[in-house]
Amino acid sequence: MPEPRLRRVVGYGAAVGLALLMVAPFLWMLSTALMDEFEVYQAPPPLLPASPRFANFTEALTALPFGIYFRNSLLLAAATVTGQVVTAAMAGYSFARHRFAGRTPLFAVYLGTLMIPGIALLVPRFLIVDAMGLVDTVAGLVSVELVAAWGIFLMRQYFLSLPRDMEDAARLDGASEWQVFSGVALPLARPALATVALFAFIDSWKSLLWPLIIARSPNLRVVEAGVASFHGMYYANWPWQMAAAVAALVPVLIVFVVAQKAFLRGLAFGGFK
Amino acid sequence: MTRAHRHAALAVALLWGVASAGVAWRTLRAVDHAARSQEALAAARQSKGRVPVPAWPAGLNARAAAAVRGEETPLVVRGTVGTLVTAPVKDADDWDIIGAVAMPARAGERLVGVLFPVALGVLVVAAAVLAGARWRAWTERRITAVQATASAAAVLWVTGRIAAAATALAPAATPPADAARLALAPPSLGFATLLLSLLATGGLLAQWGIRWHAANAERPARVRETVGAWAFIAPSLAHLVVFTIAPVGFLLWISVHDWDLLASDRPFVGLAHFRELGADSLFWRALRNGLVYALYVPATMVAALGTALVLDQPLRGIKILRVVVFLPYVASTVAIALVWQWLLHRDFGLLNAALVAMHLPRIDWLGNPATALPALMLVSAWGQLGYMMVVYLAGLQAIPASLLEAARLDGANAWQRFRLVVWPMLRPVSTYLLLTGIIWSFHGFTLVYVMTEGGPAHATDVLVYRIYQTAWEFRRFDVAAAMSVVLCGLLLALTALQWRVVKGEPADA
Repeated sequence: MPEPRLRRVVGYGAAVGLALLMVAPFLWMLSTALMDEFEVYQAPPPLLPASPRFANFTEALTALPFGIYFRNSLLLAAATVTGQVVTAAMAGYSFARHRFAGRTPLFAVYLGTLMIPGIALLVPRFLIVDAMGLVDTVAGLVSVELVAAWGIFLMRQYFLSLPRDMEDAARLDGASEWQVFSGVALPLARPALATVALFAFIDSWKSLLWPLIIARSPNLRVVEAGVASFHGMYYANWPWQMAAAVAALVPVLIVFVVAQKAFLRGLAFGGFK
Repeated sequence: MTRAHRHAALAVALLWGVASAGVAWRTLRAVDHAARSQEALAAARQSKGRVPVPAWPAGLNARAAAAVRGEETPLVVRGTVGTLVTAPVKDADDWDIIGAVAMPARAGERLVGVLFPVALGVLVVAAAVLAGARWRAWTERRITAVQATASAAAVLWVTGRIAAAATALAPAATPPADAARLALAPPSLGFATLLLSLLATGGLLAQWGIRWHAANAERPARVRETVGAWAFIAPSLAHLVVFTIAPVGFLLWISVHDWDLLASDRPFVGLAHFRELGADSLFWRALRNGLVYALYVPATMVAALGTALVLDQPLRGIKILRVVVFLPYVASTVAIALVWQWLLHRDFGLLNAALVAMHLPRIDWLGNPATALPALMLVSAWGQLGYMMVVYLAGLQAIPASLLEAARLDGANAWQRFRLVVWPMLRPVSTYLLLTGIIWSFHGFTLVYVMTEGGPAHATDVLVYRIYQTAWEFRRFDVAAAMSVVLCGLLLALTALQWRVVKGEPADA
C-alpha cells in the first residue's frame, strides 16, 4: 500500500520545511554578517556572500567596547542565576518541608506576588533604587531580579515530590537543619535547580528595559543594550549589525543547546512561568 | 509570659516610641523651615531681586548652590543645612534665579520644634511603660490594642499638624510658579505618614513575635522549626517586600501625587493624572495598539498547533527539528529585532525581494503606519511559535492513544478525530496559552524599542513603550505611574481570569 509511504514523505517534507522557515532568519543573519558592507545593497539581494568576510566580526565588536558589554551581561546573569537559585532553593525547601507559624499567610503573600506584573512596577522600582543611590551601579543593575517567585514555587513543588525519608534519617543522625538542606535535599533537587538557573540565565540575558533605564554610563551597558545602540550608530552597515547580533546570540544559544532538557522541564511546569 | 519576654516587649515599645518621635521631629522641623524660607522669599520679592548676595553663605546646600550658579533648571531651591534656611532670589522680572538668601532659624521657634516631638516621645514612652507595668493585669490583646491606638494617634497628630502648617503656608498664586513653589514646599504629608505607619507596623509585628514566642515557650521544637523556617525564607521575603510589595503601594501613591524629580514637594493631586491620561489620545492609541497587537497570540496558536501536529510524527531526526523550531524563543530579542528589520527593509529586504519576484509592489513594512504593527505581530509570531508548539506538543502526547484508536475503529476520519477528540483534549492547553500569551504580549518592549520606536506616527506605540518614554524621556514619573496602574489593572484581571480557568479545569488537565 503506497499511502503510508506517501504520508511519510509529505510529513517529512512539511516538518523540514517548517524548520527551515523558522531557521531562515538566523541563516540570513549569518550570511549577511559575512557580506561586504556594500554587497548587501543590491536589488535582488545575494543570498550568500561572494567571499565570506570574517573581519566584520572583529570590526563590529571593536567599534563599540563589546568586551565590556559582555562582561556586564555575564555579571548580570551570574548574579541573577546565583540569587534566584539560592533563594528559590531555600524558600522552596522551607515551604515544602517546614511546619511553622505563619506559613499559610506567608505562602498566600508569595502567591499574590506572582500575580503582579513586574512591568507595571518599573517606575516605583526605579525610584526606590534611585532613593538607595544605586542608579548606574552594578548593584542597581542586578537588584530587581535577584529573587523570582516562580522559581520558589517550582522548587517547592519539586521538594514536595521528593520522599522525605532520607532527610528524616539525617535528622535522627543529629544533622542540623542546614546540613539536612544542603547535604541531603539539595543534591536530590539538582534537576529543578538547573531549570531555575537556566531560565534565570536566559531571562537576564534577554532583558533590555531594566538595564536601559538603570545603567546610564556606557561601561555598565549590557550586550542587548549595546547591540541596540550599535544599531542606532551604524544604521547603514548591515553586515556589522548582523555580526553584532550573531555575537549576542551565541552565548544564549550555547547554553540552551547544552541544557535543553532542563528547559523543557521548566516549560512543562508552565503554570507559573 | 516570662520576665525576659516582658522586657523585650518593653524594649520594642521604647524603641518604637523613640523612632516615631524622631520622625515626627524631623518632619516638624522641615515644616518650620518651609515657613522660614517663605519669609526669605517674600523679602527677596520685595526687593525685586536687588538683594545683594555678596558672598555665598558658608555651608549652603550644594545642590542649591549649583542651581543658582546658572544651571538651566534650579534643582533644589529650598535647602536647609543645620539651622540655615535658604531661598532663591529672582530677577526683577520674577523669572531667573540670580542668587539666594539664607537666614538662621529663630531660636525661640527652634525650641518649640524640639519640644513638640520630645513631648510626643514622652507620651508614647509613658504609654508603653504603663502598658508594660500592667502587663500581668491586662490581657495581651488589650496591650496590642493600646499600642495600635497610640500609633494611630501619633500618626494622626503629626499629619494633622503638617496639614495645618501646609494650609498656613499655602502660597498665593506666584507665577512663574516653579521656584516659588519649591521654596514654599511644605514637606510631604504622605511621606511622614508612610514612615510612621511602617514604624508602627514594625513595632506591632515585633510585639506579636514576642507574644508568639512566649505562648510557645513550652514547645521548643516548634519554636526552633519556626525560627529556622523564617531564616530560610528571610532573604527572598526581604527582596519581595522591597522590590515587589512596597513598589505596589508606592506605585499607587505616586499615581495620585505630583512627582517631579526637580521639585522637593509632592502634593496630592487626586485623580488628576488619570484624567490627563483619559484626555490623552496617545494613551488611548497605545492601549488600542496593545489590544490589536495581542491578536498575534491566537493567530500564532493556530500556526503552533499545526506545527505541533506536523512535528508529532514519529520520524527519524524529528527531535532536532523541534529544537530548531524552538530556537527563536530563546534567542536574544535585540538580535531578532535587527535581523527582521533587515528582512523587512523597504529597498533591500529579502521579503520585498520575494514580493518583487512575484510581481507584487514593494511594501514599506516598518515605514507605513498601516503595516508597521502587523509587521511587529509577524515577528512576535515567529518568535513565539516554537514555545507554543512545544506546549501543544506536550498536550498532544498526553492524549491517550487508545482514545484515538477507539475513534478510528468507530470510523472517524482524520478531521473528525481532530475535531472530536484532539481539540477538546487540548482545550485547557489552549486557554492557558491564550491567556498567558496575551499577558506576555503586553510586556513586549524590545521589538518596539529597536525596530520602530513607537512610530511611524505612533502606529506601534504600546503601553510599555509609552510608560518608558513618559518616565525616562519626558521625566513625568507620576503620569507614567498612572499608566502603570492602568496596565497593572488590565493584566491583573487577565491573570485572575487565567487562575480561575486553571482552577475550573479538571485536575488531570
